[in-house]
Amino acid sequence: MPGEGPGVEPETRPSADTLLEFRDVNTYYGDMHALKDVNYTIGRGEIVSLLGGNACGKSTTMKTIMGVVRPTTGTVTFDGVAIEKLPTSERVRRGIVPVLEARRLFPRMTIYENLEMGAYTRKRGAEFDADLDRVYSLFPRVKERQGQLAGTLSGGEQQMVAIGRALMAHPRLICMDEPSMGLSPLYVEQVFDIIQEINRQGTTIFMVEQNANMALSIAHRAYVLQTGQVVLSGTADELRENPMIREAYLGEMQA
Amino acid sequence: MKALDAMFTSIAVRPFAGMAPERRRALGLLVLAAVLLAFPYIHDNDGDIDSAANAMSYAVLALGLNIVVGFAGLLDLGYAAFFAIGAYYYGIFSSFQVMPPWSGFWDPFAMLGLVEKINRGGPDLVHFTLSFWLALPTAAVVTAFFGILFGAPTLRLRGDYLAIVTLGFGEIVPIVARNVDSVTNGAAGLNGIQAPKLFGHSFGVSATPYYYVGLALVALLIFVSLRLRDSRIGRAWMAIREDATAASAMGINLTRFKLMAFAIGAAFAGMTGVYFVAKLQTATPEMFNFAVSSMLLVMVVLGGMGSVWGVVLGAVLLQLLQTWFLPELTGWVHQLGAALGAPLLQQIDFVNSTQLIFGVILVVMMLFRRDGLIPATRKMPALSYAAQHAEVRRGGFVNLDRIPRWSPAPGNALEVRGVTVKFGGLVALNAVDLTVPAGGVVAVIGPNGSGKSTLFNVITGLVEANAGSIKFEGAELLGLAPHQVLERGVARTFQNIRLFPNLNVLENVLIGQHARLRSGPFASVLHTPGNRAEEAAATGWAMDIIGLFGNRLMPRIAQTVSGLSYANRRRVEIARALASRPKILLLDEPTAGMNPAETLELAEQIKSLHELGLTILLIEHKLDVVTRLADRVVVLDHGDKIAEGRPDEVRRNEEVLTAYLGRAARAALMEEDHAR
Repeated sequence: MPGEGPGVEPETRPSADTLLEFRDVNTYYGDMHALKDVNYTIGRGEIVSLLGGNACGKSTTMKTIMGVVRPTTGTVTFDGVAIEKLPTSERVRRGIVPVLEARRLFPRMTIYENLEMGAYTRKRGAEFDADLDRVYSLFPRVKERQGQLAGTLSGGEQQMVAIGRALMAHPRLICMDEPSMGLSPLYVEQVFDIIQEINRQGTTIFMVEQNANMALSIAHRAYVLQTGQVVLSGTADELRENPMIREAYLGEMQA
Repeated sequence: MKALDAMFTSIAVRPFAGMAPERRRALGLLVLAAVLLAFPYIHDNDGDIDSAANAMSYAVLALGLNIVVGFAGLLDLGYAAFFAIGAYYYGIFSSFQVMPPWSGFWDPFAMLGLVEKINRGGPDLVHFTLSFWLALPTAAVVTAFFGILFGAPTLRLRGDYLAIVTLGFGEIVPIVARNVDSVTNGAAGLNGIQAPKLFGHSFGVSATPYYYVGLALVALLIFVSLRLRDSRIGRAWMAIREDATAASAMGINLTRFKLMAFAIGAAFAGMTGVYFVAKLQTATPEMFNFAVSSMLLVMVVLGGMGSVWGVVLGAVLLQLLQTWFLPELTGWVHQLGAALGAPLLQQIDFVNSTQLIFGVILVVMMLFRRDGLIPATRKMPALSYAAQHAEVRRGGFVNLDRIPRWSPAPGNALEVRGVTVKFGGLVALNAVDLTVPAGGVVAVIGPNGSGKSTLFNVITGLVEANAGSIKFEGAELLGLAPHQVLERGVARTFQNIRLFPNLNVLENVLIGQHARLRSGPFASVLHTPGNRAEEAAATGWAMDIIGLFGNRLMPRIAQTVSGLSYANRRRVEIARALASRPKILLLDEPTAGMNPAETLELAEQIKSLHELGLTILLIEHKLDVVTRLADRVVVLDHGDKIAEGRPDEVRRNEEVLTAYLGRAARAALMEEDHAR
């Protein structure tokens, strides 16, 4: 399977454009080989999406980027610096900020406090207020409800706060794990609009998403992961036309 | 740590590596039993045999506490109370402490040998002479009763609160013993408790007979613990430990099974109490204070919470450390000090630092081996690449031939009428009506926070309704506990997946059958033919259900579910619900977290269940799934039903488009209309 299809990138891009890079990463859980010789290159200003079925290594990829799981071999570089030995908190400080699967807000804190927690690694000052304004202008509803406890919000509103909280950390790379999960169709559209807007404002986005149709509609490039291996990569347009993708991930095969 | 483990395994196991695991186990047990039986002859030191006999009593206590804390997850800080009750029960009824005046009432008891008439210069008195052998089982019954008595008021509590209340009971019992002088002789304690007799010979003060009785007791209760763990009862306890809400939704009566854990745990302690005072021939309140409860907890944690062999090992190690090894070590250090002429070494006394040493052991365990010496969960083999790899399959379930068809009575299966649910000022559901015809599929859609999951919760008894009625097959569901709703044939899955995370796939699916199985604790321990047949049938049915999902789940039946992917956890949850033989299945966003191809696969599988006659109520955000499956769609928004109809009607409804579906759906509609 590897090496087939269009757009498999054999060469690495010039490092000046590269924000995050995985080179020959192997990750194990005990005996289980979760990532096999995985290479990703995420350029500055890109939206890159990671597709794949369940249990194929998407979450492990996220955990490896954030430092929750350490790769057994291989290197992960961010902005040209090897980060695979850094703790999660240091990675956040350097600008890699997650939006976690299932939101994971602090349910008994208010929305405002949740946003404050997003800026935890930074000094409070004029910049904090500017960031807060930016979040409130992206999500007017969040501003309306800033005193409400986060646990009382609906799933869609929680996702807005989760993205807002990530923005408060002043990210250079936002890693999103299934941003559309459990959301109504209307909210799914809104969330993807917001992701595109944040990217337009200059933040690089790496996104794991099951809703391949939506993901490919906003991503510049995508990787396809199967049982821990990258089997396909290319621009979103290329992948949308790929028959294997259409069948396995877009659900277009006829019964 | 890992390298050490591997080294240990290779040294200990290599000579027998060729043997089958069961035979290796049996051989190991045989050797262990032979060594333990021969111990008093090999090591003929009465003091050390006595230490070992004491260790046995702590092993039994740890086994009992393990049922409450390790199996059922109820943190009990006052466990020594039951130990005390058993001890005083035997102490009082086999000593000269309580002597009521003699009357004709006591004659039948005298004939049974339970009392004697004695005269100490005055009126005739009653002397209780309860035999040790009779006291053991009756103490189990008496303390089990107290277990239920203490357990009942604490049932609604969890975690910290339960711990505090049980701590209170643990303090109250010794205080009562100290203050009711006439019955317990207060702080001075009971004296002159009878030693056990066997065939007319008293055990006296030699440690050896007690050692054998203790050994038999430990062996018996290990056996009982293992049998319970692997039964319907043990599965119910572990389900409660893992997720009480999900356990009740799967048909487990929380009250009944929590009390059962308290009662059986207490019974173990009561028997130990009898054994312990018979050996010491005295009982004082200090023997049962908080230090005992906390030491037992340390033993359980050290050995491995929930691990039967682990807690026995933990108890024996700590007890021997305290009574045997530390005094010897102190002696050696003193001798060393004398030889070296270092007076400082001669002042060290490890026995006084027992608590400190326990503390250090606990900290070291938490750092390096959190699951205990013998962890309760077994290490799972990794899946092969082939087993990990699963292709998307189309065309619904395979292996359906093993699943019996549903034949629902015609009419409406579920009728929800005017149901209102309020949380404080928030109206989560406002006079909602909904009807699911027997054998039909109804979908509920609506924005996040519109009350869909609340609807499921009120149907399954997890939240109370403020008004309305919910009838299933004509009978009211409102007011029933979740386990009773499941017994009626209403099974559900949860939006945020509530499996029992530390149990494996098979165990999760077996727990789904809880309400359809009957075995009680006695049948489970004795493995009666009925129990064996039931367990075999239950496993067979679980495998049939898991088999529906083909190689998505079959290679993973022994894997703990916390390690499964999101989609596989959803599949296990559906399997668990199906295992309960439901008449109606409530699915809360079954395809969340699945990609479009996997979504289609599951939608077709649900359809094949429907074709077998199963009635389905479904919450779903993916419109293509809804149109594929549902006969009718109900749309909720802010707790109100805003639309209802066939899928193609609802997706054209203006209100639904604005509140819920969004522009892609609108664009698709326009395209369709244009094409026409």
